[in-house]
Amino acid sequence: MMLMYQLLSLGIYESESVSSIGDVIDKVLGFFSKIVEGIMTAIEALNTLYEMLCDFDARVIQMAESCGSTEFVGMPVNEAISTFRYLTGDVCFMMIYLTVLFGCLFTIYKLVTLLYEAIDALVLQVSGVSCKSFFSGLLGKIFK
Amino acid sequence: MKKKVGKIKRFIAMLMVGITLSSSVFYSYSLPAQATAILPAVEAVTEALMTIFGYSLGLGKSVSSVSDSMDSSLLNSIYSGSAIDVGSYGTVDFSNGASIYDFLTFTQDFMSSHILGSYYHNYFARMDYLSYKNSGTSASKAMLEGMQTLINDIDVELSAQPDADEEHRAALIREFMVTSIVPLLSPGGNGDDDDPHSTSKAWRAIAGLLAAFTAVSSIPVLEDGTEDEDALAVPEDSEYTEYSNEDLVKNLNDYFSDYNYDSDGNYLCNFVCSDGQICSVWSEDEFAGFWSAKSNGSEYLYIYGLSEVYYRFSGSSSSVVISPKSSTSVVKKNLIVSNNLPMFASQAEAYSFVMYGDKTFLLNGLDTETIFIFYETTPTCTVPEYVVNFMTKTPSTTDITGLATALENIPTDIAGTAEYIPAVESVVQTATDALPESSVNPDEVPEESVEQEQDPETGQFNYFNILQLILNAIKAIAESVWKFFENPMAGILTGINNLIELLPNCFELVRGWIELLPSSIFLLFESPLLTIQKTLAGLNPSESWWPKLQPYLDKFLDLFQASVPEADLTVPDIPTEDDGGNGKHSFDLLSLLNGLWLLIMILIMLLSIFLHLMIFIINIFKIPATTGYLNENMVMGLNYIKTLEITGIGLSVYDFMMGLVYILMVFGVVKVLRANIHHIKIPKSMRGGLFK
Repeated sequence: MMLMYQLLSLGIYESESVSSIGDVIDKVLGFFSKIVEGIMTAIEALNTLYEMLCDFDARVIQMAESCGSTEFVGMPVNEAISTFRYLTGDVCFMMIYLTVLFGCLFTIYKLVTLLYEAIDALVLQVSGVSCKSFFSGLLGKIFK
Repeated sequence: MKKKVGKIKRFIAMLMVGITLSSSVFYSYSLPAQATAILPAVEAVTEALMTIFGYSLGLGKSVSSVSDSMDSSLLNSIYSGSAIDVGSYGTVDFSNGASIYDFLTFTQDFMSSHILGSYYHNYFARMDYLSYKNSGTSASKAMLEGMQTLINDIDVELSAQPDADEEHRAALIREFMVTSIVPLLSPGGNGDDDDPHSTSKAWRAIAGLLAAFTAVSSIPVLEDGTEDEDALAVPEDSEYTEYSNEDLVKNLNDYFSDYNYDSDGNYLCNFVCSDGQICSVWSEDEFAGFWSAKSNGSEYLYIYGLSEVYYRFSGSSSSVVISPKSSTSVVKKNLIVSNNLPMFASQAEAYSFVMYGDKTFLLNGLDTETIFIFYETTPTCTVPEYVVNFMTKTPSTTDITGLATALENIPTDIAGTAEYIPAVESVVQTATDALPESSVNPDEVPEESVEQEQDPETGQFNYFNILQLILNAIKAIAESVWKFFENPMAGILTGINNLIELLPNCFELVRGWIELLPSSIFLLFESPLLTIQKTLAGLNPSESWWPKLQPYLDKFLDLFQASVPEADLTVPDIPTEDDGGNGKHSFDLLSLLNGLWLLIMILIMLLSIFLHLMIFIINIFKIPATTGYLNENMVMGLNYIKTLEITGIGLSVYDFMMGLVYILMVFGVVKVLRANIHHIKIPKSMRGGLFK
């Protein structure tokens, strides 16, 4: 308190004193406005992220569509892959390509399996009935 | 039990290793075997010529391989001074100066007429295609220039000795040809090693001579139904029929089943195949030529292609019918060899040809009366970004204001025909009425609204106003509902009247959709991707069902406008800054809703990116091998180690290193299999059934 008094006397610290009930309300509103401002900033950031993702998606589509051509203007990834293919040769390139492709597919398979297990556990917890029995029963009826 | 499991493991491991080894060995040997079996002899000669041409441009092709594969009869005749039979042309006596000179001038005329005339030989087509790919120039034209240089040089040689007899002139010509050109074909005798470009003219000359020799020899089979005399006769100067761009577009549109725009605003065209079904999508970015022909009483569109991605053709040597994409490159090669291709060095030159009939930059010569090229669409086919956004994703405020501005100014860009203009104007009027401060000056509303919606501090557009518009519209609907309850009977009668008025047309519309349903389902099972593309194409206003739907939408819009007071559509002031101007943001419930909506959209977009990345990864095998980032010296070095043989084992350094890489990769596969084979779980039912 003494320190605050000294700072006030020197003009260094200027407190926004609460002199009335209205000031209290203003302070509370200011506090919430800060939160709201934070939320708005987060929304703006989300909007920027979304636009960036849209651009990236368009770029990926462009890359996928230009896979068959030799025009690499603005396609550094495709050009790098093309150079790699030139250096390694078709056989080696295809083997590496198949390795990557199967790796991706197995990863997706693993992810889907995990997702299925998670959903099954969730359904089992909620309803007491397992998805596995449902699917096995369904498949059994179809492929009887 | 353990023994059984061990046997199973060993069996599976051996099986996997065997499959891997056999597939890699088979794949290694099958490629050259396939290439050898597929390529016809005529292509080998053409490849050899192109190798010469590539060498003449300093591309580093091997000389010895050319000499081995080339028809040496002409060279032997030049060396020995003997006579040689050149097909329908007759005999060329290399001991007679006049005979040689006549043959040279004939080959020059023949090449010029067959390159610049309507008979475009397959050899030249193939050469031009390859040279276009390698260097962006026309090999046949370069060879023609080389031939002209050779003849000029011979003229100079002969003019120095005007009194020489024919035998002496022949000796002079042969001596010139032998001393200046033929040694270059001998292994190791590549002339000036330091400067391969210095011999380019000579290479082009001899290449042109050989090409003409081969072409003249095959004159009887040059063109179906053409007499030998006609083929041999050099046609007069080619006369090109003047045509207008309108005619071109009209001819093309006759065969287009529909057309639309993709997500990037590119112009896509669907074509009708010979079986009457839509079979392929063609983009404006691809390079193609078209012609039409009748078959079995029906007229079809046939097509030429140049691009690497043109795998979607099939057909005989004389015609190509568009068909679903083929995976073999053999079809592509045959296509290129067998057809005339209007070729240009750049998009701009091709565009100039398509749009204005400018043949200045035509690398080869073609009769444009029957063959024409479609490289780029007319400018009216370009679609602004905001229109694409409207078709493909949730439009932002920028898209809406941009569309509102553009619709007033360039409505033909959107709809293409005047019948859409009233609908467009109504939309514009609605948008301008709804936007803030519209009462000041309707003409200036879009620009003002853009300025107002832009955040002066961040420079970004505030997209909340559009949600406010929707909210106001909902309020207006609620008010109209309230008004309906104020006078329910009148409202019911009005609604019934409107329904009765709209019902027959709706029935007609629905019946049309039902009629289309079986074929759509059939297409779905036949080609799911094509069906999806077709469905997306339906978003285009030029689709046939859209004009039918448009009046109903206009009518709904009119009813909506009539039922809602103008004041309800005005947007209340949404404070974007606080009074102090310290950059604080205002807050409302819509902002939170927007945030939640953005989160959902981000998740969807992430899923979309993941799927598109998978498509890209799957399509990676299509990317051709090019030198890419490697500079000229690195390519030269690589070619050097490819040709440098290791003494004793008969392999080049490159092949030896690649063999090591293959061994490492095979052992890597074996290592991975060995590491993971214990984790393979075999179901109990299979254990008993398969390995009992």
